[in-house]
Amino acid sequence: MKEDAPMQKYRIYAQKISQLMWLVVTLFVLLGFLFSNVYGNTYFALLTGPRTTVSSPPVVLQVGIAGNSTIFMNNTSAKTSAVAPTSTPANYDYVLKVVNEASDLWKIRLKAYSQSNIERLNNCTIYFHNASDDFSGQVYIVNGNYTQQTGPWYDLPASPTETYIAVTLEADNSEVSYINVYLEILIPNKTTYIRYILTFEFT
Amino acid sequence: MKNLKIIGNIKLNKSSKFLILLLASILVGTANAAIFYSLTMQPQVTVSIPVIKFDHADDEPAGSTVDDAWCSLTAKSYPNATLTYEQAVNLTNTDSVNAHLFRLTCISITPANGSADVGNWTSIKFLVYNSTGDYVFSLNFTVSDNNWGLAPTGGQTAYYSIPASASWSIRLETLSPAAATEGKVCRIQITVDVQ
Repeated sequence: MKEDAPMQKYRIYAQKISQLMWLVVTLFVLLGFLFSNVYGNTYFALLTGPRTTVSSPPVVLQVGIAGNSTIFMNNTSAKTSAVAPTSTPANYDYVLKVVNEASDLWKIRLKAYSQSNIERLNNCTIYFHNASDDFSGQVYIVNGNYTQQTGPWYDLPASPTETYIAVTLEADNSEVSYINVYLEILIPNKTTYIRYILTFEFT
Repeated sequence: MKNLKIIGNIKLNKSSKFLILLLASILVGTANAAIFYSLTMQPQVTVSIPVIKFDHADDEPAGSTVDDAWCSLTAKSYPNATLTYEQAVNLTNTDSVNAHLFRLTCISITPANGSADVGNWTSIKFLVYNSTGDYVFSLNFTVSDNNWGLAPTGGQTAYYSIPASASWSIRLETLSPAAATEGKVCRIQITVDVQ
């Protein structure tokens, strides 16, 4: 049976459309390859190679002549115990010694960073002094509250020098208070510093 | 010859022919891609400053070397004491117009995991601060059971955008345990990947 002319015409159109679609798909594939070649990121890497060497501490802690201090391994942390009287203030001169073993000048200060049961302390002053009795108040607690948590920078001259850490204490009762303090050791005119941990136990 | 005749006698409809054409075009496309790629691999090479470069900083440890595209820091670590170099080295965006993305990636560290020598460190931290002194991100190495723990996991940070002409600083913090042995050395290689 012979198809009529319009039907034949439509079939030819349909074939042509199908061919055209294949052609378009093929072109898209080719274009896809083309674009993949022009796409990219600028990328480069810089390199840093830090080398960290374990070194002996330039500043060390030593026990004092008052209170009861324990110096831990490598002399970079310590725990100090002292009794806080309830009647008149007691002065412990000195509970720890800070010794410069390097030929460099340093600056040091104390920074209280945590505590427990300090409400009972009527008066607590932790301070530096040297052999010539120079005084630098570092941490102050008055009536159970800090009035100063971070002390001013204090010079620790080049070796052989030492600075003393002393405490004045008075409490309301015979409980126990703890104050954790950083001894910060700074290179002058820099922002390079070392932190030692000191724990003060006041009974 | 006989085989060729058989192939020649195969009848293909138009769709099959187009499919073959399509496959052929993919093949040609691949070949073209290779050619284009090789063309892009012939760039003009000009010596220039990296878009983001290392710069000297106030707390650069003594004995360190800082070049535009490479730096070697010689830091110390003390037993039971935290040593902080607040501005160990700076990263500067030399592009005065555009911000750029960069990240830190650890590519090697010695002593390697499992070595008893790893126990001579508690942590080594690289903290990035922006121009106004605000913390942005960090790459940290923390020791546990003679193994290095990297944070972020995998030792690679996300990308961060450094504004045009800005200079950011890398703070280096080191801490060794009380029983650390003097003279032990740790080497870390970090890349600063820039986009």
